Amino acid sequence: MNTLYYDCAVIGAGAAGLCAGAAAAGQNLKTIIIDRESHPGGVLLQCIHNGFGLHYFKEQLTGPEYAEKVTENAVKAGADLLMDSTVIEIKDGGKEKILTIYSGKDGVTLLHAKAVILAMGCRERCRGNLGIPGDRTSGVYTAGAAQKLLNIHGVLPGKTAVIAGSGDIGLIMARRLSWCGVKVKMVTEIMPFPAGLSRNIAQCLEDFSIPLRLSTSLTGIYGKDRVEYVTIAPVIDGKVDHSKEEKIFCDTVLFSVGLIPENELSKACGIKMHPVTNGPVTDSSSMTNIPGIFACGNVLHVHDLVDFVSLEAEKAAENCVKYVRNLHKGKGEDFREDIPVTAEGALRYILPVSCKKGEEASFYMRSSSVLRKARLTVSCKGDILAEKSLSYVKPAEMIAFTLPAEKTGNLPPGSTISFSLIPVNEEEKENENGKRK
Amino acid sequence: MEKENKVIRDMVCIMCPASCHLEVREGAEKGEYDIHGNQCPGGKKYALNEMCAPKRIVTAVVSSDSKCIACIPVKTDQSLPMELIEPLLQELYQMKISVPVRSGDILIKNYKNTGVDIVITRSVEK
Repeated sequence: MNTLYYDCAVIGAGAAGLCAGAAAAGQNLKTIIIDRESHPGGVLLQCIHNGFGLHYFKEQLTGPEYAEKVTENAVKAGADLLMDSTVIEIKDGGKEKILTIYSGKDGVTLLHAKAVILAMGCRERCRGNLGIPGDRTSGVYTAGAAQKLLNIHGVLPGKTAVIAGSGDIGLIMARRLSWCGVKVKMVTEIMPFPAGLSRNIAQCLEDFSIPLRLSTSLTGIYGKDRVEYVTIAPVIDGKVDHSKEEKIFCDTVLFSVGLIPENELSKACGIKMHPVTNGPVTDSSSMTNIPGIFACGNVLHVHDLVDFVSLEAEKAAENCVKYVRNLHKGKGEDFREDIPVTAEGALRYILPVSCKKGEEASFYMRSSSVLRKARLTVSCKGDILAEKSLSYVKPAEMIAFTLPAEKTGNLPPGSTISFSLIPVNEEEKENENGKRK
Repeated sequence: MEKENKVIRDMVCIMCPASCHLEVREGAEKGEYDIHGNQCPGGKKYALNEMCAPKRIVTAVVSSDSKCIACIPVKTDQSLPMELIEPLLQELYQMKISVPVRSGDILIKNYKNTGVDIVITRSVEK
């Protein structure tokens, strides 16, 4: 059995892991990035479409280009890459974490690291997660699996497809399949609003006249050996109306119905999970409840833009560097007061769930409904600390907000900060504008 | 306040993830358009293009002779007129790329005199 010693072990070589690894190695931590795939880049490698990197690299890149850039950054910074290797256990030994890694080439390796950054990403919800009844035929894929087949292996998944769920990967696949001569009959969405970005509805569905059936549920998949047809039915007031069921003939079904952070490793080592995000609960230093274990990217909460993943990963790495340095100096934990943060109104969740008093903190949050105009209010015991007006707020598009250090510096002990998203009435807004004029 | 012309088309800008909602109104002169709702100059340009000659960035994969990577991703380096997308895809699907290639290598230069190059987006060594 091999034994390795590192300052920082990053699990996952996708956008989050590579950016975290680059930042940690760049600060002279001895860093290793471990991934079960053969090539670094994660899901980016199969996302051959463009639209990545506008914030982080200030240019429009395709997935593979983005992957190549972040891989290059990590390698240049001096991070080691360990590919074709799966982490099967994380053990918390206080000042040292021990990772058990398995690979076909090296067998079992024990890796001793002072700190760990979780960057395992997420996986897709599938037919089984939804419990769609019918026959067990071939031709049923998650959108990402079909994307990998098509873009990495060059295999067409079918000839006529129905896409269940309007997540971004599903929308991108609708265009991709159309460009490959596959007839995409429709995209169904159970909610009354689409799950993906508006630009993807425009360029992936409208360009190809693919109907988007909102408030529609896929109720069954049928066929002998291969999918022959699916049934769909309208959803009225949250209930599926089976009496209005329709048959749609197709040979392929793609599911794009949400992503689940992949936290089996984290849970097994005792990391506390957030009930809404299905990712670890982190403080403003991206640290989980176990000191020395940090989390970033889609393993923490599902992002819609890779740019935010990269920024979040850098931040986690920065804090990881601080943690390791303090460990060297024999300093204990950071004892500055943690102020709890709550999500209210139309907010579904907010991360992190606390921030350090008198320190700038970046928050990410999602709304639970579609709002044309809304106001985000940050308050503490009724005092408004900050406000921001937002337009076209939707659950699919993450809201980012940075709270400056001076806003929390003078809060009394025991305070709680609440983030609240409230819809703004159009008329009210107009009155306001009128007053201003 | 001056009365604004009727909205003739609503669209979502696809230039960046901000997905601005654009309103196209008739302009002062016939055949001119006023664009509202864009947060940057790119949105205006996009909407005007969309009204006259829509263009798109095209991405695809081309098969390769590599032993480990079956398909190599490519893109157009700028937006291509929409009517040329299908002919381009048909051409790409007939090609085979010989490795090694570097990300940024040009596969087809100046496609059909549009000034658009088809560029490789993944480096493959062998």
